[in-house]
Amino acid sequence: MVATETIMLAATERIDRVRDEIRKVIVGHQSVVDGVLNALLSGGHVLLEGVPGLGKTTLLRTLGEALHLDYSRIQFTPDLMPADILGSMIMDTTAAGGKSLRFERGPVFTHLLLADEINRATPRTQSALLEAMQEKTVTSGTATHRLDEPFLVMATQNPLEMEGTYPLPEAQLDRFLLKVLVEYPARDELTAIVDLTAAPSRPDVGAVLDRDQILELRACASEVLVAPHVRDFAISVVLATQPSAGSQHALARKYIRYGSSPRGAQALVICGRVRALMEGRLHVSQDDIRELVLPALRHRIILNFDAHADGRTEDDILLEILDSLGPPQ
Amino acid sequence: MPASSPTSGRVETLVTACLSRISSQVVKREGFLACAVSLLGICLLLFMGTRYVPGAIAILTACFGVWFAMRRWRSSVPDAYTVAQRIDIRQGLADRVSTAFFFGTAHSESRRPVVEAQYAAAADAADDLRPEVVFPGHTPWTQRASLWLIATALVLFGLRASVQPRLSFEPPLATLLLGSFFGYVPERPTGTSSESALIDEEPLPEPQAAEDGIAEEPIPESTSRTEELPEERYQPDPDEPDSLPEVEGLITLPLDALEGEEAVEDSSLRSDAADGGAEGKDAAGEFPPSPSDDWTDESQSLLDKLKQAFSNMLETLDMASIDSSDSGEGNEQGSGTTEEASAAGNPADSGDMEEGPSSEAADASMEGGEPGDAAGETASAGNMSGEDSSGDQSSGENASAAGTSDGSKELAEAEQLQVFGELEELYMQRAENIKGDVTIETRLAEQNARVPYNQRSTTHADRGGAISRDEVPAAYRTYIKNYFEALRKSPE
Repeated sequence: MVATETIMLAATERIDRVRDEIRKVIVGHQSVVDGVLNALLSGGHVLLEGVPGLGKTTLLRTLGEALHLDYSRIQFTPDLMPADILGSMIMDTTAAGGKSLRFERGPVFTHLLLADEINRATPRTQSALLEAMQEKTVTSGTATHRLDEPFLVMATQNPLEMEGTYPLPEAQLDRFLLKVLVEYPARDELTAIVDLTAAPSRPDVGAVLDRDQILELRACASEVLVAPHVRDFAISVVLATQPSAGSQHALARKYIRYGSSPRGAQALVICGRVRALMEGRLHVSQDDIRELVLPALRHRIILNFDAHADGRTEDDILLEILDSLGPPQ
Repeated sequence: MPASSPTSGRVETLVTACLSRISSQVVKREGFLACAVSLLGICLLLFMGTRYVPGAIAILTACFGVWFAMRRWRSSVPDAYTVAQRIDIRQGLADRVSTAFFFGTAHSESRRPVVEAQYAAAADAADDLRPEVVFPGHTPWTQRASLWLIATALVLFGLRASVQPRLSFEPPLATLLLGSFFGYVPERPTGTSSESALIDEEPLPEPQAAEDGIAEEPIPESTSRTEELPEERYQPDPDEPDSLPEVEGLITLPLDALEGEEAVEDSSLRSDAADGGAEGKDAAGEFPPSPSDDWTDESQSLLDKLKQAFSNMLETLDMASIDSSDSGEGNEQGSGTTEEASAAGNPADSGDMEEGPSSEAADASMEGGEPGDAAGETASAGNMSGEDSSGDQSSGENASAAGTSDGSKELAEAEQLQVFGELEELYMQRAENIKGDVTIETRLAEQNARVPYNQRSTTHADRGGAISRDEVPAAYRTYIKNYFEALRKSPE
């Protein structure tokens, strides 16, 4: 018992150290940092949405340095091809003059992948990430290559300049464990950002975690207890978003065309475990579920035209659904 | 949780203690609920009396209350896991105790190290908690309701005991209170009771004509006492069961204080019935209420006013009956004396009279309960009797005392109202069927026709039907509809 508690406490301390290192470079955006860390420790992927210039790329680079992991950055453009991401077979000439085909790995073979402005690539290229994100494998020809763990895709998309973009299909959106909105920084945070940028040197970010320790943290997170009533609460939230379900919410019938998939409930529980570990607890509480409803479900529900006509957003509807469920009884 | 664990039972102890406390609170609440339901039946019984509500209603409501409370108690007591969740909510423990309770009792084998570590954290939190702090005692609403119902039952019992010389649960409390404070005695649905029999045995008080200041003329000796009246005049009409039994019902007052007064009223009514209502006012005026020690001066004056009003009403009815009787006899009586007018209005003596409205008026005066109807019938009788009815009225005014002129006035008003009613019906029929052209005279000067501007607007929602027309392709109808809905929902 003592050993387990010690391990858990050590895991919490490690996560706190990663936070501190990232905080050296990234000012504010604590929810974004926690969301990215949560997705990393949960084995999922995160989609960041925000206007340019909010530090999304800087966050991933800093995270890579703090975690001592490899990272790649792909700028998605309309002419980007799947082979540019996954890799391709090239003709290799041996010293004896023989020729053979060799698979040249693309930038997807890394630990941290930044898919910048992912909605600017064509659906064909976007779909090239589906297998990598879900199965953690890449198939080229007849060969299947396994990606190294941990593998985190952190995609960004710009809500502005929608002309010439290809919105992510629902199937690919569902692959992202969390969708985190990057908001504008507050005044004091902006002041700190300006001061940090004007500094003569960039702060040094130390590697506080390595690959093995991250996998160890994942194992610890999977041990966190989830009581039945907490699990039922997560399921109730997901069912309330489904307009065709028996226990749907009134807003779901009115504004939601497609509700959350079962992946939503999985995301709530899995991310709830990591959040509990980050908070130093060995059990998931309903408060963890409540905190994760927005990032875990906002990209899993599809609103109908009435919602757009009424100016309703996914967050509004989810918050109202959450309020209707009331405090835990 | 295994027994070897050092933290074994700490969370369970807290949960069990809280469960016992909740159970006791639920038992208390539901017990008071059963008590409240039982008291409700008792209050109902005290208010309505056993005349309308059977006495077993108290037992039935008590049984129902116990059954209902037990049913609620079974569904209100939570299980231990729910109690653990409530502890977390009330103390802000973020599901620590409930998780430890669940995994420590049921699912401790699979994840022993993590479960024990989490249980230890929960046990540390549970050590600082006390059941009385987590679930503080409070007064349930059923307890307050029970106290209110107890107070209500005591008040009802006190009222019933105070207005009754001998406590009885048979009559309704409202009847007792009305009879005690206002002298009003409603009809009884049942025939006899012990109280009525007891009161009927009391002798009627002697009329005291000397103390009465209302009567202006002496009353004949033959009509002052009820025992001297012919027996057949009291016989109720078998075809009209409501006529005389109402008078009988007035006699059976349950209150001792009202015995003398009611006897007076009874005697006056009997005198009215015997004399055809002509001398009712005098008879009533001769019998002043006998003073009672229990009555206050205020209630005495109120009863006097009521009695005066009642005698005036009887006067009015009697005059109408006199007029109709005179008209029925065909003006054979001229300007007679008082005795002649009384004899003419006496229905007992009008056996040779024609069957007609006059006899109806006399019956109405005997009943003494429907003055409006009697007046209406009298008015119609006056119309039917011919032109001599006015002359009879003048003879009636000379014959009787105060109140006669009021009766003639009402008779005249009734005739006018009837005439106006017929005219109004004619006008209404004409207004409904009127048709034709209307000519409006105008001046020859130049005129401007002005029509006031009336702003009429419609919404996009009203044009929703236009989308369904064939000109709009089916594929675009949804978008067009949504476009108009978006316009409609915009601020402007």
